[in-house]
Amino acid sequence: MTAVLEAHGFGKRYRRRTWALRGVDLTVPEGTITALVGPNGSGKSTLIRAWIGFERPTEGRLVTGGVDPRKDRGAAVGLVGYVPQSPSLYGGLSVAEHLRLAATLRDGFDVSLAAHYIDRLSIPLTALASELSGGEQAQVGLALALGTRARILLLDEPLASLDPLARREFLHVLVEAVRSEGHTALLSSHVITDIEQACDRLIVLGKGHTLLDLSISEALAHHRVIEGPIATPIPPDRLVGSFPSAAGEGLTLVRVPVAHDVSTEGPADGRPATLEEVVIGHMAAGRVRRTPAAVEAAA
Amino acid sequence: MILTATRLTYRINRFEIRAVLLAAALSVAVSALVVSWINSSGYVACINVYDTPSLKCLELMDIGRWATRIASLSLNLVPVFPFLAGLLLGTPVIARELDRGTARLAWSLGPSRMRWFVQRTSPMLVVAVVASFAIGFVAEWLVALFTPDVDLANSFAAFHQRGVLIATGAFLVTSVAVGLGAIVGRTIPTLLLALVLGGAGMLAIGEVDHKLLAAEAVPLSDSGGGNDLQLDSRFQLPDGRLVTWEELMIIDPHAMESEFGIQYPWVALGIPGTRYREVETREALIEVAFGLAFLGLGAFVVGRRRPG
Repeated sequence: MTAVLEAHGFGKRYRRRTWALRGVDLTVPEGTITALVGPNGSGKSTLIRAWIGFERPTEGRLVTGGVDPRKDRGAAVGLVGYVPQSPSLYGGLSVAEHLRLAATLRDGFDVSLAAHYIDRLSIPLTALASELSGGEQAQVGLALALGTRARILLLDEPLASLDPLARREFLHVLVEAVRSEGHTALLSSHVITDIEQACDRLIVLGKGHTLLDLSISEALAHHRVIEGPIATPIPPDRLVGSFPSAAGEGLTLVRVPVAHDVSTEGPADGRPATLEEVVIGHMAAGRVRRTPAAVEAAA
Repeated sequence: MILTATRLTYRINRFEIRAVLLAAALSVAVSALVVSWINSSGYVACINVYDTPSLKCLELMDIGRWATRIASLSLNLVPVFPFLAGLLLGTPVIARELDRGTARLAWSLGPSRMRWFVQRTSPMLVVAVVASFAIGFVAEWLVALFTPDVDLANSFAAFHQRGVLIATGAFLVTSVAVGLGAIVGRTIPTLLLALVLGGAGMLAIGEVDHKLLAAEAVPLSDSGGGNDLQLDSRFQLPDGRLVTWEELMIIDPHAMESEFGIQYPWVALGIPGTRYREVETREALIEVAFGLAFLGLGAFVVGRRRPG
C-alpha cells in the first residue's frame, strides 16, 4: 500500500532544549483513516503541523503526498485539507462567506461540496461564525477542509470540544467523505471510542517517538490485559505497561505473539484488551519525565 | 475573484475601515461646508482684511470667526490623520489574524501565503491612501482659501499639512504597522510598537529630509513672503561670503560693538517656493520607498513564520 504521509527520523526541538519529538519513523498508508493518539505534549500537533509545513523539522525528513513540505510548503498545503484543534474562524464572517473566502485562497475549492456538508449538518450558511457553537465551528472547519478536495486530510484533535452527538456527526461526515472519495485521513484524538468506530489504523506517540503503529485489528489481536496482581513474571519484551481501571483495579497490558493460540490460554494470560486499554497501556509505558536526556535515550 | 477577496477583506476589517472612512468623510464634509459658506456668503472677501473691514464683513464677523476656527481645527488635524489611519488600518491586517489564529486557517486553505498577504493588505492600503488623499486635497483647498494670494503649487505654505504627502504618510504608517504585525504577531504590542517606530520613522525621515534640503539651501530673495521654506540664516560679508554667527565673531570680533548693531546684512537660506512640487514629490517617493520596504519585510516574514 502506498504511503501518503511519511516521517523518517523526524525530530523537532523547541528553544534549543526541549525535543517535542525525536526519531519518529512512521507511514500513513493511502486510503486509510489513521488515529494519532498520545498524551498531552506528546507532539501530535507538532507532527501534523510539520506535515503541512507549519513547523520545520529540526532533524529528519517528512513527506506529504510525495512532497517534502520543508522544500515546497505550497505544494504540500495544496495536497492537504487541514482541520486545526480550534478552527479559528473569522468571527465577523458568515459561514457562506468562509466558503467564498476559501475559494479566493485556493484554486479549485469546491464551494458547492463544502456547502453540501454544511447543509447536511443543519448549519445555516447565513450564520456568523461568532454565533456558532464550538461544535458547529469544528464542523465548518471540516467542511472547509473537505471543500478543498484534497486527497490527504489532517485533523488535529477536532473532536476535543464536541459533545457526543456532534462528535458522532463529525465522524460520520468524515468517514463518508474519506471512503467515497478515496482520501487518506490522519485524525489526532483522545476519544478512543470514536477512534475505534472511525479509524482503521492506530499510531500512539509518547516519550517523543512512536510507541505503536498498527492497524486497529492488529492492535486488538496483539494485546491482552491481566487484571489484578501478576502471578507469574512477564518477560520484559511482552510487558507494555500498568495502569488503573476506572474502578481503581490494577491492570497490566501485555503483548501477545502474532501466532498466539487462544485455546491454550490460562487465567494468567489475561483477557482480550479493549482499544482504550491498548492505548492507555502504551501511554502509561511512555509516561516518563520528558527530560531532554530521557528523550535522547529513548530515541 | 479579486472583487470577492476585496469585499471579504472589507468585511473582516469593517470596523477599522468604517472608522477611517467616516473620519475622512466627516472632515471633508465639514471643510466643504466651511468653504462653501465662506464663498457663498461673501466672507471670502473679508479674509486677510485688517484695515477697514466693510459693513458686510463686520456683519459676518462672528460666523466667520467660527468658520475660520473650524477650518483651522480641520487643518491642524490633517498631519495627525495619516498616522492614526495608518495605525488603525495597518495593525489588524496581519497582527490580529496571527493573534486570533485566523491566519492559520487561511494559510492551511491557500497554498500561496503571498496571495493572502496581497488580498489582505491591498484594500487596507487603498483605503488609507484614498482617505488621506481626500483629507490632503481638502486641506489644500482650505489653505488656498485662507491664502488667496499664494500660488500653492509654488509655495511651501502649510508644508506637510496638505496635498499628496498626507496620502504617502498614511501609506508609510500603514506599511510599518503591517510589517511589524507580521513580525510581532500580536495586536496590542504591534499597535504600540508601530506608534513608537512609525512616529520615530516619520521624524527620522523629516530629519533626513531637512538635512538634504539644508544642503540644497540657497539665499532667499522673498524670505518674508511665506512661499519659501526657510531653513537657516547667515551674515553676508562684503566679499559675498555667507557666514554663521560664530564664524562672524572670529572674522570680526568687534561686529557687535557698532552703535547701529551688526552692520553685515542678514541673509535667509532655504528652498525657494518654486521648488515646492519637486521637494514634495521627492519626499513622497521617500515615504513610498520606506513603505514598500516595510511591506516587503512583512511579506518575507509571512512567507517564513509559523502561523501562531
